[in-house]
Amino acid sequence: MTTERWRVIEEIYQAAADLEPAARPGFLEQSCGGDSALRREVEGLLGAGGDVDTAIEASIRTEAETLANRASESVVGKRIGLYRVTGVIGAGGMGTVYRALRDDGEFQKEVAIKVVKRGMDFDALLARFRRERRILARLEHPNISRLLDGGVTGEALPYFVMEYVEGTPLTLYCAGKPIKERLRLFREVCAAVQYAHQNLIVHHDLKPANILVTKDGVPKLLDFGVAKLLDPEQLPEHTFTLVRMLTPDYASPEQVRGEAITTASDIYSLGAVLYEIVSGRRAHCFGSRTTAEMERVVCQIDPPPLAGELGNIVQMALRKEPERRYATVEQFSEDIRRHLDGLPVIARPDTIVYRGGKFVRRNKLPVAAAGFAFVALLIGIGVALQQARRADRGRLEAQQYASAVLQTAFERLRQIPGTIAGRTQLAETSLQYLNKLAAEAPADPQLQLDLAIGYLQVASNKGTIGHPNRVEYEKSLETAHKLRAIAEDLQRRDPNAKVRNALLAATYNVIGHNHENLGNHREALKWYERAKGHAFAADGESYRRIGHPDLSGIQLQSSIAGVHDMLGDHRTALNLLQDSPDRRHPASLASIGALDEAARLLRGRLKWLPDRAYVSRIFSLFHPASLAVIEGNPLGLNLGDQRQAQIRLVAVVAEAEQLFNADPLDMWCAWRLAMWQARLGAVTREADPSKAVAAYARSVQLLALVLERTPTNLRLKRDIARVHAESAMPLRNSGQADRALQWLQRALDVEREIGEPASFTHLELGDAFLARRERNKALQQYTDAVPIAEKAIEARPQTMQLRRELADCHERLGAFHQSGGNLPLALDHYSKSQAIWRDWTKHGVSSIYNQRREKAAALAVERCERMLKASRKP
Amino acid sequence: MSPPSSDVTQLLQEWSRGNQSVVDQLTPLIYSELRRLADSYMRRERPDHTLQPTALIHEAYLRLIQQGQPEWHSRSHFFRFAAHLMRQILVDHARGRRAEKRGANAERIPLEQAEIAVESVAADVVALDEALVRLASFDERKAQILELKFFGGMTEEEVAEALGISVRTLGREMRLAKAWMSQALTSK
Repeated sequence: MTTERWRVIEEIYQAAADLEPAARPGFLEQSCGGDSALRREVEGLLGAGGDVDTAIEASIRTEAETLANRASESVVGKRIGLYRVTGVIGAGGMGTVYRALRDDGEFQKEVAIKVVKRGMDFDALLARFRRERRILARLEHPNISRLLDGGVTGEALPYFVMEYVEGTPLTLYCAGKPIKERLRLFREVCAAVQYAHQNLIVHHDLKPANILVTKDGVPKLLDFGVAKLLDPEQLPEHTFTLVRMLTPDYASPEQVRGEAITTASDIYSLGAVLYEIVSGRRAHCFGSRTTAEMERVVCQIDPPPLAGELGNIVQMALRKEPERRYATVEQFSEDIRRHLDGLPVIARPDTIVYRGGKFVRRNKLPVAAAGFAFVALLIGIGVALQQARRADRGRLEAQQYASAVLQTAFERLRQIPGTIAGRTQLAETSLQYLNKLAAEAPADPQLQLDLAIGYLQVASNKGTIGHPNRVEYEKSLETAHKLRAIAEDLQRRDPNAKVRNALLAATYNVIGHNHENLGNHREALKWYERAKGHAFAADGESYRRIGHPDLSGIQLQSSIAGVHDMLGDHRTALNLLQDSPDRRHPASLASIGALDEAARLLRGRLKWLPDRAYVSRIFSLFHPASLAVIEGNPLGLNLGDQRQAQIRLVAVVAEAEQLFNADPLDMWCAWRLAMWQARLGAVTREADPSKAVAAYARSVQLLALVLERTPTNLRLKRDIARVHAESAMPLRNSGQADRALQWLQRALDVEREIGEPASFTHLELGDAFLARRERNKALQQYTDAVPIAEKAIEARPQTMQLRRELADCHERLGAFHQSGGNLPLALDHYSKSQAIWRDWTKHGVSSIYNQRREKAAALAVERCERMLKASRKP
Repeated sequence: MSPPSSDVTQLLQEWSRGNQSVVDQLTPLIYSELRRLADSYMRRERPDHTLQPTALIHEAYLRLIQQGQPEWHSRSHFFRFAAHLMRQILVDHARGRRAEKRGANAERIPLEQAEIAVESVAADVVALDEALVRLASFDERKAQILELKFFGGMTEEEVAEALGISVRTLGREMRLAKAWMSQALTSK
């Protein structure tokens, strides 16, 4: 590089960097003339992203630490974090485990510290650790050794502090014990693993060395969560590569192949441990310990079969295909219990031996998915029904029993991933049962109340279990109206009973909710208002009686505000929640431009812990995802921190993928995941097109899946159009221009189908044409976009993003005409854009976003004026 | 054993006037102080200890330069010198380690273990140094800006002041310098 060349590059670069990204291509075309090498060079610099600060700082710091650290070879006697190392427990492939004491003067606690012997990007590790710790901290189980702390040593090595456990590896302990005793112990281990799985934590590295039995005979599982913490897969940026640590004797085929790991993988490892406990030898025998040999043996060779029923059980856990293993550890363990009790087990090829089995099969319920909770429930209802038929006197009791079963069953199933099919079936069966009872039931108030509670359970679960489509909402609405008839009748008879008010509030809430989902916003408002009236007349105890979460007035107010938001009336939404500012919807704030306030609110909500129910996990991801969008989604109003946004979204997407993986039938989860993938695409689209393309591709794939199952959802289609349009730019920038056009066409088709044109799609189409040097077509698209954007503002004047989109239209047109040499027209459009930013605070709240855009717009106008003046001089 | 602070101040002034011969006298003074500080940092074992070389420079400055004369000029000189020295120290150390490693790994280790070691692809100090040398060949100021910011730990205001340019100009130079560096470090 010569100094002269560099000066030219610098000049063009600096001018282009001051422009909005959209205006750059036009500018570069003009200023680089025919020098394509020059243009490539500048474009390369403009597109150079990545976090160079962090990379440089990390390399400097790492070197400085090794420099300062050469002397500290022996750790014993020294401190790691808050702990004084007292000895070495052992050393293995992963690192060294030390015994250490936490010495706080008064209180001493012995711990084990595992120092991982590989260097890692410790900033990323720490960030991840902090995130994971929240989850791991929930693991409180007598058979799980707790992860107490973690950090990075002076040598930049990650370490983990665990409860110190003195014990014997499970296999060793079992040798010589009677088989029943061995199986009992193993089931205790299963219970601990099941507990972790319910918390969505997979061990990844279950092996005898990680399952110790104390001298009191209590099994303790070590290292829970550690393997996942060290798994590089989900870390942002593969700035380092980790060795995949394997214990091939207990690793599942999918693990050996490096594929996605789920709870099924732990089931396999437990199967391998059981094999060893039962037979005294390992399931697999490896010729050598090369990667290829490991993969061959684990993925292709079946271990020598063990005899009898227990052999069948082990074999089922060790199946090569994860989906053919036991669905849950609980099921695995339950089968061992049945074996111990002399009952038939399910691990017998093509035989399902238990009561209700035929019913289940006839209804094509994937038994494995629902597990035993569901079976128990079916039996419960069956018994109740039989009793009800036998004698009228028994009916009341039977029905109360059935309602109670129903209440707890939904709750239990919600906590287990993979129960969509089970919950659907449960709702259907219960509904049939309730309808039948309703037809026969006498007008006894207690009986009617129980009936209503049953309906409420079905109605409030139905609309929310993974089928976000019209039919489901309408069915739920139908059930809710049946419920309403009963609830209103009950209330007329005794208007002051708190339980009945609670029932009415919950009923109206369900109706409102379904209307909201169906897009009947006005109707939804009406029902929420009614619900609010009754919510104040009920108390916590009465909600508990009807098995419904507390519905406070403020909660309903919040639902009402949500509907106003949907209608574009963000100010009313905010006013409604004026008295409880922390309840305000960040979305309303962001919509009117109050980004800082929205971000502050969301940061506060990150601390909210999700409850244990599996279905709530997805909700807990809303906060970080929304925050990321505000922090740095360049396609929305944002605070300009794309890096932070990316870090957050990578984590959100990873967890959502895991949740979806746990229940691939949950279309609602799939939809959310698809949208978060698209957000990830949006925040990486400028810095890393290939990453963005990958995220968008996954998003499109998921949306197609959801559409297949729920073909009538309007909001879904709106999202599909938008995601396709968004992906065009990164597709083009990674050399897939044809694909980009195809997807834009798809976006247009969907928008036509639902009758909702979007200016964004037209702008992207314009860019696509411009890239192909089809200037006329580009101009047509840009021009088409303007009235669409204007109409959108008319319909929703409070939504500031729409004003930004109109400004985008004018900026594209400005850049287009400037590069085409039509300076007066360019100036006209730049001025229109400038006016939008200047008038921003007349309509919304100011943030750094509009301030930056206003500056950029002023610069563009100024430059254009200068060029115009220059062109007029002779 | 600290040298009289006036020595350091004087030597720095000499150096800033262009007298390169004082470098040999300055280097051991500042180097030993930086090393001493680094060691004491590690011994302190704070739970959150991550060694910030830039913090070392700040502390070394406070020790070596008399507190009584807060002339920003001498501070700025010191930082420029120390930043360059820090870069030298770290790069030498990294080169030394590389050589050691090559010696140790001369024998091929058979691939019998399940572990396959892969080296980190993060920018290392040597690559960073090489890129800075390249950048300096056609734009010395930008290389210096990066050196001051990253090895010297100076804020943008301080860098601007040390180089006698406005913060705004610095910002523009910095964004290009970083963009170039990002490409240089990843395009290997």
